[in-house]
Amino acid sequence: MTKPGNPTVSLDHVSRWYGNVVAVNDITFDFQPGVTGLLGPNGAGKSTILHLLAGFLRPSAGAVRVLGRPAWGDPRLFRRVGLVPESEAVYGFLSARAFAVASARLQGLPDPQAAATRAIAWVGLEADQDRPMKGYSKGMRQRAKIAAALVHDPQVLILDEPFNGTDPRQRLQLMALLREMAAEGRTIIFSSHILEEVERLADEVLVILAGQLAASGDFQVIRRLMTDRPHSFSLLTTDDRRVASLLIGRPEVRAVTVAEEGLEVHTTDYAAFTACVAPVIRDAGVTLLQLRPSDESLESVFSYLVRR
Amino acid sequence: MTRALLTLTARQLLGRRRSLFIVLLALIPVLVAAVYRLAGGQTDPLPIEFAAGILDTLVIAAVLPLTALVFGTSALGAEIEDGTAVYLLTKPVARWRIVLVKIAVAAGATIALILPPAVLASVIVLGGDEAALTPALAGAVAVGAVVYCALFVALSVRTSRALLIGLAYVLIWEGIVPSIFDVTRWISVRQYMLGTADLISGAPRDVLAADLGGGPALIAAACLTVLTAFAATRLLQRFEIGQRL
Repeated sequence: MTKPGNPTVSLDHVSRWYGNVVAVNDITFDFQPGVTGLLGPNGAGKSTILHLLAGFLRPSAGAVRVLGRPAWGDPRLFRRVGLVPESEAVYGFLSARAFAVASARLQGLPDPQAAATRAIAWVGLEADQDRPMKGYSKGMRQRAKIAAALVHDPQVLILDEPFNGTDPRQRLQLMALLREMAAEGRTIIFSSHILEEVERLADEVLVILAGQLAASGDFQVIRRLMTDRPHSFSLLTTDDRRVASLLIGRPEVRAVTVAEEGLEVHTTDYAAFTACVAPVIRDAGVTLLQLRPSDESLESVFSYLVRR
Repeated sequence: MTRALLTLTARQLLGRRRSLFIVLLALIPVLVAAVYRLAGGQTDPLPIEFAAGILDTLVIAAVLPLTALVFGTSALGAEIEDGTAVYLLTKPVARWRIVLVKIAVAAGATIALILPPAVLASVIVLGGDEAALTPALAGAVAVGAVVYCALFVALSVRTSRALLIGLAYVLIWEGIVPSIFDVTRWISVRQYMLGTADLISGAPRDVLAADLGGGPALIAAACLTVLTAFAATRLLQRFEIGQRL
């Protein structure tokens, strides 16, 4: 779960529990410069991990280090770390610009106005920068939060579900910005429960399920694992028994169950099965009425990765 | 850095609705004084006794602690409750500095909104006589505002029920307990304020009903402020985001 090199952020056998509830269970991972995505369903423990990384939670066990120093209990670390929380709360009475300027002043920057101008431009909020944030849409608030977190040009940027509420254009713009920042040597860590967001942005992925590290590494490897896992499909045809006998003989089909309402097909090769199923049924002169994956929830995908 | 923190806190604290409530509360002593003046009651009680009564019963025992309660619990507690404290706590600002600024802004706002009406009430009653009571008021309000706000800022970091617990504290501990147990005067902000007012005005103790001398009152007030500010700092240093944010 670790890579060689000099990590900017590291989790070393980190656990965090609340009473009897284990929120994060024995996670070890080294974060390098670049974009790392934490992927997992809601409630998996992604936010807890990000808060541990940001020094906002004390680990119950293990050690969290950021830029070589313990993350917990050291506000000076925020000179080099930026955090974009998931919460939508902002100072509604401030404009995005005033928010960015206040953040720059609290960072002790020599030219807060210039820093705010640069950060506002990064997130593309120039047109609305002087309006109070209480009138902002969810996406605009999100961008104002990101601007405030970027104002001191942090070396490590931690973002909790940063694309919530943003429209597709804003999302692409923010992704381009984060990629650009990562290309300049910064460490960007973000969480998402949406596979496509992680796929588009992250170089490295941590798959989190029930507080555990289900898988980690290059996104393409994770994606392959997800695609190659056993899949189940529900089929409804005009002749289920005939289709069952045809499918059971195929190498990519592991099992076929004849149920009261159609067939349940288990396959070991997602791509091969989806490519062959329609021609096989058509060639047999049977009509395919329905074909749908029966275990495509993100939870089931993650559960498979954990079982591996 | 401190200026940004001061500005942010003041803008958040002095919201229209909250300030209006405090202004209305602060006008109560003025109304009572005006009624006394209009009624023409100049002999029983004497103006000095009535003014001291307003100072003790209304300003020191009720209006000031309630104002400090609202501002003290909001200065940091409101940010913690609405989630915006995360923006403050993700800055390289020492926690003691945050606590001190929050106490200073809350106490400053309390003094600014309570002192002018309190002075006005005493002027209405005394009609310019016994001018020594005005600096006594100022001293008492300043001491009370700082100690109460330190207490309530610390309480708001500790619990989301700070307003309720603070109200119970003002009514029970400050209002009732010292009259039953004499020893508790040493840990009563009201007694610190009365002692301070007594020290400045030089009025007889029975007029202001001060149970503590001015010197001991100021020392005790300083000790309690430092202790609660220290406690608030420690609580903030150990504050975890899942705790309430």
